[in-house]
Amino acid sequence: MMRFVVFVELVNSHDAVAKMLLAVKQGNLGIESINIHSTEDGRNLSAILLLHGEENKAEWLVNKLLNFPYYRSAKILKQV
Amino acid sequence: MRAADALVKAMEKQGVDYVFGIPGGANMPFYDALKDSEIRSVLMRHEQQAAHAAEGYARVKRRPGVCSGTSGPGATNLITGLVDAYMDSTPVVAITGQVVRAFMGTDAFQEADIVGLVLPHIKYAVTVKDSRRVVQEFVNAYSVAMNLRPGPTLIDLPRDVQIEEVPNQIDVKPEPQFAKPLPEPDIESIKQAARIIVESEKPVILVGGGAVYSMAGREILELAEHIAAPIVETTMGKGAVPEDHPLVLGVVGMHGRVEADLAVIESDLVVCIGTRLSDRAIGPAKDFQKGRKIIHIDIDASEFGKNVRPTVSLPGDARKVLAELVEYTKHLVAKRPESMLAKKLREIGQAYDEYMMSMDDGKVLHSWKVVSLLTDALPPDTIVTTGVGQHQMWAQLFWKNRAPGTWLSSGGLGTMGFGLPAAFGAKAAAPDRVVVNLDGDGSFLMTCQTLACVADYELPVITVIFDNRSLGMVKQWQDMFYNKRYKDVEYNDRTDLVKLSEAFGVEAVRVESYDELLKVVTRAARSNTALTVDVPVDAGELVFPMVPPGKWLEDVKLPPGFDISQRIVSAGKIS
Repeated sequence: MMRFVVFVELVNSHDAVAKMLLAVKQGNLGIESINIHSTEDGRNLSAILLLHGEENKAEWLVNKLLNFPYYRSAKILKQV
Repeated sequence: MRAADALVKAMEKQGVDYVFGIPGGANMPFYDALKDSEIRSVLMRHEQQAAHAAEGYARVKRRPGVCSGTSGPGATNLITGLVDAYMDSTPVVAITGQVVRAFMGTDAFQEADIVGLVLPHIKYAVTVKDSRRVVQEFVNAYSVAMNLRPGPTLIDLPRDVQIEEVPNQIDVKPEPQFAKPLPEPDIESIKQAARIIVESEKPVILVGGGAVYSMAGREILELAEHIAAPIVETTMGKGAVPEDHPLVLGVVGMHGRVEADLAVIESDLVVCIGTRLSDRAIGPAKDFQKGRKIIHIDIDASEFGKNVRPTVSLPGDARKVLAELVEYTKHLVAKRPESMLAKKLREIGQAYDEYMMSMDDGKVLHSWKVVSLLTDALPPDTIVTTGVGQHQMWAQLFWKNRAPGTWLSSGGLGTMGFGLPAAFGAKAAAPDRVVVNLDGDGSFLMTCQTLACVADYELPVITVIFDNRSLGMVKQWQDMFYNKRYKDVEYNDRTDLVKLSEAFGVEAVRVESYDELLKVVTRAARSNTALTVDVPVDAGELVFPMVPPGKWLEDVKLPPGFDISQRIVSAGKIS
């Protein structure tokens, strides 16, 4: 079991936020905290997710999100 | 013009020629706009069938199929088909009506949050509240459905948005997020993969649906022939390479060909191409990974390590990556002579075929023989669809696909009822080709109203029903894992499938012999006419080989009485 910090830039829509959390659910990742803020005059959002789960799941989550047009970038900031 | 008219014009520009759907209160402006269009709208009898028809169309035409439903139940009925398309990476665009903006969130009549409902299983879904964005959102949805890994998308249009006036919009391009470029092959990783291939003694190539979409058949055969590697397929990978090629051993996994399962068991390297490596294909990942190296090629980087941790991962389009991999491999090693392993495996496969045919005592019709006879009798470019269940497994074991895009089955979601509407959509995409739906009686009864469309639109599909009067696969599991305690798996004999088909306007016949079956099916194929054939098959058939759920391929159960112990490659590996 590992802890990850993941940074995601996404469009400002309920659907984008919901789908991100559904992906967290699909990856069976536990949520420790999620912070979401609007950026660029409210057109986009940035999210910082502190999650825990299996070793390879953070990379899976990042790659998974990048399949969908809602997400402009996604990266792992830290893994411990 | 109205936003609905602008949308239809944009659809025409994209080349959309069919919309499978049902009109209702909230998508009426869209249908009104279709009235003045060249786009053929097909009035389906249930929206689930509309989504499956769009899938069938897409997989043959290699571009998105379009389906539509009104708000509320019209939209929710699409969901099964959209989830099916997501699981099997099929490009489908759904256009749904929505209640007017002022009523959204009030639990209005026929209001459902369809975008919220489909979100976990869709590439992109949006409710378009600004009429000036309708065309842009359609172009985005159409593009992203095909971009990188294909999948379904949905645009949800409130009724009042559809009727608002918008300027004529020409030459609208997808926004950058919806048209990402293909990743270029990573040459260093490809070199590493080539070295691993050269070092391996018993390589096997495993092809999935991604190999079909990428049309990578030629490159796969080139690699296989150069390194003398047997090729095995997932259910979705069937048809990526011609199955009459001597290196192609057929489908692997729970109900795979015995020689294909053995090839993987014996391998020291598996080159996995465009497959998500589901448990159904490879069994438990820990067993699959044990003692063999894995090279994984996929357009979707999230598949690397999701189920199986690869030795080398090669992101990108399968065809482009393979083209490079073949070149580097050829530089490193000369063409290998035919492998004895592949030869022995083919002999085992032939022994299985011969054994199964020897089981035919002439008293009842057998599913495997029906499939085997049909695959020999019909043209090589015949498009075959299936429902889900025992007949699907017999079809994947005995139907020989000879061209990509000729095998349409619900591989991921396992949706009973997929076969007939998918066949209908396939026939719309390829009206000059023979389209045969190999169906179970259980699956057929779930979507049989599509026969009305077959008759109405003169898109003749041949349906062959493997009629065992039961939910055969569930019954098989109750037989094998629940001490034969059969529960709710047997149908009565009152439903006359011949009369049912005739009621929809499609000729039907119940056959009593293989000769009769071949006669009616080949006649329908030659004359391009619709036909439903009710084939009463042995109700006690169990599909073997079968790997019990959760077990490794070595634990495969073979047909009772089929003894290959003398011929098996490594003694003691199969029970």
